[in-house]
Amino acid sequence: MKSIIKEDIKRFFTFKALLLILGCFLFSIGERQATKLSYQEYILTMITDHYYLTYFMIPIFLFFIFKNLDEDIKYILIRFKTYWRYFISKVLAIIINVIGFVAIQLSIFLLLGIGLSFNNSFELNKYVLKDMNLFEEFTKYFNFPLKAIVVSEVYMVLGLIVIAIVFFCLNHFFSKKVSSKIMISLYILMAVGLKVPVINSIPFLFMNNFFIFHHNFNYTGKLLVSISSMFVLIISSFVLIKRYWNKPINSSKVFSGVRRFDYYRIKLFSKKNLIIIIGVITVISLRRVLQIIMYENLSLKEYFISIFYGYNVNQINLFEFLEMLILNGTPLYLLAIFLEREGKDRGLPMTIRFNKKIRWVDKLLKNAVVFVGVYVLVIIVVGFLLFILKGLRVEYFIETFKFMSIAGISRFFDITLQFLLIFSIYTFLGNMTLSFLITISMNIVLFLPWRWIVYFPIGISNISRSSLLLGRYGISFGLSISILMICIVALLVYIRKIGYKRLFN
Amino acid sequence: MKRLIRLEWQKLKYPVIFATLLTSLVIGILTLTLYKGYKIDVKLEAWEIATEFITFIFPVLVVLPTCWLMYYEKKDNFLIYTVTRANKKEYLLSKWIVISLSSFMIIFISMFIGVIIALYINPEVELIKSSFDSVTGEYIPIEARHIFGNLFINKPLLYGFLLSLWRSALSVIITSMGFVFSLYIDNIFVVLTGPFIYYILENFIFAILKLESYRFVTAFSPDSLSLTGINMFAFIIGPLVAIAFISGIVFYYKNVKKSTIYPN
Repeated sequence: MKSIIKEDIKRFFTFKALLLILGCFLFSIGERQATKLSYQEYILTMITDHYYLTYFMIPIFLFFIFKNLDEDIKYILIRFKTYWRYFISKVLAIIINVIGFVAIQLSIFLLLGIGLSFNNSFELNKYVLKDMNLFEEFTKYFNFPLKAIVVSEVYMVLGLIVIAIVFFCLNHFFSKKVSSKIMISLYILMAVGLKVPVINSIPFLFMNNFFIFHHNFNYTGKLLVSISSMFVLIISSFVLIKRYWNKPINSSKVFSGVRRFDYYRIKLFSKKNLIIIIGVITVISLRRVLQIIMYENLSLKEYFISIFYGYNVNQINLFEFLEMLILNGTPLYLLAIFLEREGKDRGLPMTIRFNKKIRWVDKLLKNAVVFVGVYVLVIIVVGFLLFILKGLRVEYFIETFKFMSIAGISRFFDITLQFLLIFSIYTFLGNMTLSFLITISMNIVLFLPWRWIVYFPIGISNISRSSLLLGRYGISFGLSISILMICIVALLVYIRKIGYKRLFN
Repeated sequence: MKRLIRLEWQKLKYPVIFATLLTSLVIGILTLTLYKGYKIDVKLEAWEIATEFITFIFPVLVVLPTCWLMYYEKKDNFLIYTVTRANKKEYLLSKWIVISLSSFMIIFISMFIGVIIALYINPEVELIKSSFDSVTGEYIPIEARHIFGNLFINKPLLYGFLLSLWRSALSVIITSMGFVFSLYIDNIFVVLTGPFIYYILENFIFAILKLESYRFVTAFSPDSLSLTGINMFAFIIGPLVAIAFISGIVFYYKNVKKSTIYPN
């Protein structure tokens, strides 16, 4: 047991520990030159610095853990006789490693701060302090900065131990590739959560609450939530290891009951289609963000209004029309290519295998609708990510979320309606090219100069027509969604009762 | 060779003539009606307003009647039947000649009918001086504002004739793109809408990159931009990019995917 612990510690503090020391050193030297704070306040500033923690300490810590993770070597396990003893020795090694990790940084700060005035009280001098709000929060709970330092460091040690144990568990049950992907996505989730303060209150998901003490000041009781979630995580990982250490996680049992081989799904969501979708959406969203980034106080809601804006009626402006066509028409074009290729084989063998002809239609429609839904989701997610990566903050999250979901849902129904129209015309004409062109040319109706065009169902999800921007000359969201649903239901009824039979003749 | 050309024309006769008549009808009606909602100074401007609409959808007009033939011949194995009867290169070349000439005919006839209607059937227009220089306050004549302004005002028939010729030449490029698609691509939908999607995407991408002078649309209708944006290159680069795209497609399918036109 002791040898494993020693070996783990040796593996942790190798050459890469110098990287940690170097970064810490550079950071604190830079701060030390310019500071006029007292000794304790200086250390407190160092250990709570936002950028240092998020962009340096945590990636280095994850890198250290990642290098330490290993496949379980069989002869080691045999000598240990039970997996539980091996696990306990690993846990002890983790504890010592984490204490060393935090101690290195703290000692560098302590050493470099020598020379500042030794004053163990909070003097909130706003010309010298970097983060006034944070220190004011600290003064509510601690009288001396030394207490705050000790509490923060102990909390960081506990939090990092929990994170390391959880990652060890992940690495044991999943393969190294999958667990590294999970670790990276957790890190990205944490970075995203720091920008949107409202999300940060969700327990379990955001690791920054586990080791950064001052993030628990958001609301009273958050500390209790964080500590209890850490406790739950530790207990569950111990239980999982003790009882199920040798049972592999079988995804088919975990995630679904019966998953049948879906040929259409594989063909429709091929790599080429997904790359085309992501490429087109990224280009259009990037152009939008660069266009509107110069406005002051740009909020996420305004960005979504701009991207779902579409095209206003009764006017001719070819470039915006093209942009709306490309944004709405990409999923339709990919679906038309897919339908043209796959919808041609409607011979006898296929009818026999499907038992009923209606099931062919149902499978096709279901996959197409899911495809459109994925497209709209990618628009929203890419917009959100681009917005955050540009460094803009998200405020009024609930209101933005409501608007985003309603605009997304109406856009989803709009594109679904256009697809169902393509399919219905296809049942009539048998020719995919003409049906696609006819549906796209329905958008030209928007050029006409009459008032009632605002109610035309194709393109009704464009925000340019909604009452949000046009007042009483526009349509409200409820009305637009109702019109879309009526048209969708009508087309679905036509296709499922009469339309598909024409295809099989 | 001559017999092959006559054979291809027999196959494509009806769709092409129908497309010509339809397009001429549409342009005629638009030239007769649309100008009433605008204020125009010269008679030929009615024709320009009508062809704005055609500029948007002309790839569909020229590709749809002509490029379906090769796909169906490949699918029905008619193409193998011709191997013993005609030289492969001559056969494909005769196809290309007929397809290009028919698209030339479609665009040229419909555009020229539009010119004739605009000049000889529409009523007279009076010139109202409306645009003034912001600095000097003088009237800017149309010759200075419009491309090839002198020709536009004084010899409108020649201007219309030359522009129709130029547009038909450009449509040959687009139809060749459709033809190349039909040689190699297996999906009739992609073959027929491919050039149209290329046209739209190229328009969009060049506009994003602020290179509007070099679009294919600018080469097709040079009066879509103001005079400062047009130079010699504007007429050349759009078609050159299209030709490069066609060569790229041929290179890709021949050398990278190694697919042949005639099945082996």
